[in-house]
Amino acid sequence: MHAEPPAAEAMVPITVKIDFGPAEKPSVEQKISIKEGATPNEALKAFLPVEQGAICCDAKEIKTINGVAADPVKNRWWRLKINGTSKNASPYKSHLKAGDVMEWIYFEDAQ
Amino acid sequence: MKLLIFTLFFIVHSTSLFAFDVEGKIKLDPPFPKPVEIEVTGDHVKTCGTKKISQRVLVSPEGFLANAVIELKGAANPGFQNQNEKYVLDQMHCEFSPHVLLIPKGSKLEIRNSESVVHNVRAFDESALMQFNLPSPIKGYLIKKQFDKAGHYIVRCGIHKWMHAQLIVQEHPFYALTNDSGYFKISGIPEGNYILKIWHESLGEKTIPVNSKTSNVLVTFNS
Repeated sequence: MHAEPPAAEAMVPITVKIDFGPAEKPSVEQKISIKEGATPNEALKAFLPVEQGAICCDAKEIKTINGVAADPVKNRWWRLKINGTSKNASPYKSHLKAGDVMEWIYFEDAQ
Repeated sequence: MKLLIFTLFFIVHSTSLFAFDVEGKIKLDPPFPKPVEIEVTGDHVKTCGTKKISQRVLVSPEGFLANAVIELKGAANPGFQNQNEKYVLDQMHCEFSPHVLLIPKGSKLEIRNSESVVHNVRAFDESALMQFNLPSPIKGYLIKKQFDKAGHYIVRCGIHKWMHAQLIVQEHPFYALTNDSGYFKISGIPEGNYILKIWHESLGEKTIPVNSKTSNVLVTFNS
């Protein structure tokens, strides 16, 4: 009997958009290849330096993207959208598929 | 024994004999900022109304600044006499009240919900590290926390994004907060030369030297 060779992990294309908003860094839009089913965190980490930590509810949340950190004092936060909506978009629970648009938006709430 | 009593009396008495107060006012240069309105949107309108006034900069008609935190730096720490007081941060009208709260290190804080609105209380330290994230779901709900580390914390509601409070956990008792007239007073300071630090969440920080001869100060921030 011959053992089956391990299946190659399928790579799929997605679009990454990063809007640095009030941090005033140039926004990013790029097509990248990711492992099919990767979480937004995994896909982002393969693309830019990030730091994770609890900012709301879980230590797996994204605190910093490319040096731009969530800031509770200035009321600035990172929001994730997948295919244009943040509803049900989780940085560590969602799974990306081919053609998805993953968008990270840095925004400031009034206070 | 008489000598011991006399010596103790002299130490206590002499400490208060050479103590002084620093008092003063914190002012803003004109033009004074107008109150900032925050538009409330979505479902929050039903519970919080259509607009909130930002609590970040509160200025009297004469330009005196409320909620500036005053710290006398450099004095020996005599310890706290008010550590066992009850400190309360309330949630009412979709705001934290007071907006700025000073508490001694090691004291207990009650975070109260005094309205029938669901809130969520999150506290972050100076490095944006979340200290806790707790529900505050019903009127009368109490969260009890003890702060054993001095520093500056920001408390936020995770549901109503404008809601925040500044919590200053004091390392020593030589702190004060300006009232609505911009007035503050720090009492019982041992004779010496010190730095008075004035911090405001929106206007930043200033420092001035003080001693018993310059105990009445007026500090002006640029608006």
